[in-house]
Amino acid sequence: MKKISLLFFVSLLVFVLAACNETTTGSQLNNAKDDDELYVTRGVTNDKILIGNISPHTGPIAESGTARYGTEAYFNYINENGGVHGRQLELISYDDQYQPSQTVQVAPRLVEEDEVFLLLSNQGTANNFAVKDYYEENKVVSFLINTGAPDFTATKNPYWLGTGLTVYNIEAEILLEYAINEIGAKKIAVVYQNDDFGNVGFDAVKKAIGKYEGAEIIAEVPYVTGNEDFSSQAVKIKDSNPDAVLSFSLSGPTASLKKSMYDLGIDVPFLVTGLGGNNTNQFELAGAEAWEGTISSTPYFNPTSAPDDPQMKVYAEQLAKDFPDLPIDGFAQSGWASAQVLVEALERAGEDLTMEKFVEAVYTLEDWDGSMYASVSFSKENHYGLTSVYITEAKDGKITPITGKITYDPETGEISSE
Amino acid sequence: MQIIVSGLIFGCVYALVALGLVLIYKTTEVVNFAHGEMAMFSTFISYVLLTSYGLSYVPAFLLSLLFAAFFGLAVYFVFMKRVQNAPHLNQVVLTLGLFMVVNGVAGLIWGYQQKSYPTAIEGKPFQIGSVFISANEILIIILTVILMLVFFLIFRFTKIGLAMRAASQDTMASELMGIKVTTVFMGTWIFGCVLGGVAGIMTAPLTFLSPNMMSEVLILAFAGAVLGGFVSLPGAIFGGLLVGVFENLISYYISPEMKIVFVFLLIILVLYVRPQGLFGGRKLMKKV
Repeated sequence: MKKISLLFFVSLLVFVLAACNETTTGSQLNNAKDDDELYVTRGVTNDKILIGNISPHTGPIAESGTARYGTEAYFNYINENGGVHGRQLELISYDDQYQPSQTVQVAPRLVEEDEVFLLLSNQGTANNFAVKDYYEENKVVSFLINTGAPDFTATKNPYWLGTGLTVYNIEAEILLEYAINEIGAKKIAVVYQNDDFGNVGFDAVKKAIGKYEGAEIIAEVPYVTGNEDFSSQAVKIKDSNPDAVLSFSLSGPTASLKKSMYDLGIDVPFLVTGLGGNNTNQFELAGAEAWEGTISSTPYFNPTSAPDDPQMKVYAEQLAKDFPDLPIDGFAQSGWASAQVLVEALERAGEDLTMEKFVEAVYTLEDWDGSMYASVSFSKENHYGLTSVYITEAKDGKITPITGKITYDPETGEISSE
Repeated sequence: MQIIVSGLIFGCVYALVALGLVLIYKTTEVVNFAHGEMAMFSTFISYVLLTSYGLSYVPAFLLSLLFAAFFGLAVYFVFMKRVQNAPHLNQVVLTLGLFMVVNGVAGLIWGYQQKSYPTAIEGKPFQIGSVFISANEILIIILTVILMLVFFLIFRFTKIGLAMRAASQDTMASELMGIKVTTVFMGTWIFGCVLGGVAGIMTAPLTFLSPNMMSEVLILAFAGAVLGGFVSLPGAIFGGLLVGVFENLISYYISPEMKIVFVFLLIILVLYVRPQGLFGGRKLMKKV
């Protein structure tokens, strides 16, 4: 009995000591940084700027992690041409396999060991959520994160600047508007991936559809990730007999769904979010005939539709040189485009680079069209970055824009097209 | 109707995978978790033969099955033979390890981007009554039934089959009776992997080719095999088909999120009523 109480006492002591220890290190960390400053500057030397990135290099969606190669290619291009104000750009990218538990492990390495200037294009909604508090406590800025979840940018949080994808609810409203006003659809079937990604789009449609007289959602067709067989979804769509199908789905499932629909002879306008549609590999997957006519949206031109564009040429050449195996219209393009915006902001921030100056420079981007993105806008009040898209159509193996720039105003919810 | 027919086709894929699982389990008493991944690997080999070497479908199909046979052989000699006498749990854990290794290696070699895979018979689906079906889907059904019958007959009526059954019941006694257990096990792994290869090649056009294409298929095939009792080849086929149809019905009438839940509920129910599975039958272990 004595032994047990002693053991208990010792363990209690250890626990108390451990708790004390934690609080002291915590406060030390806070003291080390200036508490009154909103931002801290790390990772900048006279000849180098370190940029961090966390994305899946392996695992089920490793393909989307290839965006980092696009960023690296653009950094190489800039470095070969003298860098930014004489500084070379260096990307440090870690693998989190798209698992938030892994993100939590690698994030401190980037922040505390490598001490990067900022985080660029970090991927995944859940992954970014997992380390949100950690970043904010350590005053780390995340720039153009690769998710379309509105949670990070809608709150005008000083540490979260922009997304590398069009925010899902904005894109959903633009696609819905197009389906109703341009295609003339009234009865709409909505397909969505039943998770944070698909639900944001679906909820936005449910909310916005009231604005259009006579329009209604006649079928709600969910699926879950990992689903391989889309025949029951296709039958459901067929039975509801819609004027148009609106789909919030990723590329693999979208291709399976479109193929199943095609096999059942369903021939109605099919609109899908850019993540599921803006990729010519879909012609391969779904079958060229099945994919033909699919409507999607994109924040930038697909390289196959604008091969003569001088910017696109630079991109295609550099990518072919650095990563010859990568398809030019895959995820690498988004990595390249995000890097373009980063470099522009770094240029504007001037020679004497601090995080404060960088953020100020980001706020000066207003309807900036110098990158691949249709337009980039930031201000203290607008942290979205990307609010403009083109609507595209899949035609003859290419994905071609069929509208001018369509812009969503996050303040008023109005959609204007050019 | 369409729901049931589509379910049957996916059910055939599950059945083909389940067949390989059951075959290996029946003889070696090891549940091969790497089965799906090994099938995926063989499918990738056939894809390389089709695209990089420009072979036509049939030679690519046969060559990749030959590869699958060697793959099974290699896995048996390099890994499984060494732990043959270890507890079954150890062997099963080894197959789990193989699952991860094969998946990772395939990802490194071929990347994670999904690729389209040609069907055996091209052609648009045609309509029978209210049901759409393609020639390739009919082929999958026929192939599944033939393979099941062939293996069933081998097991039941040939000496090899007898040796396989004997080796599974008591390794030492079979050895003493003059059965070369190593050869029998080797044969089982080879056949199992070839079956897996066939299943992979049939799955790839439906799910698209990628290192992760078999993960959901394997789980549902496993469910099908358990439903069928895990030792019966017709049971594996029946279980696979049942799972395919059932999940499609659930997906349509209730919701797609619930389908796996209901499939496993069904298994619990069946195992509650018939602990030996639907076709587990009278296979009683006689240990002296």
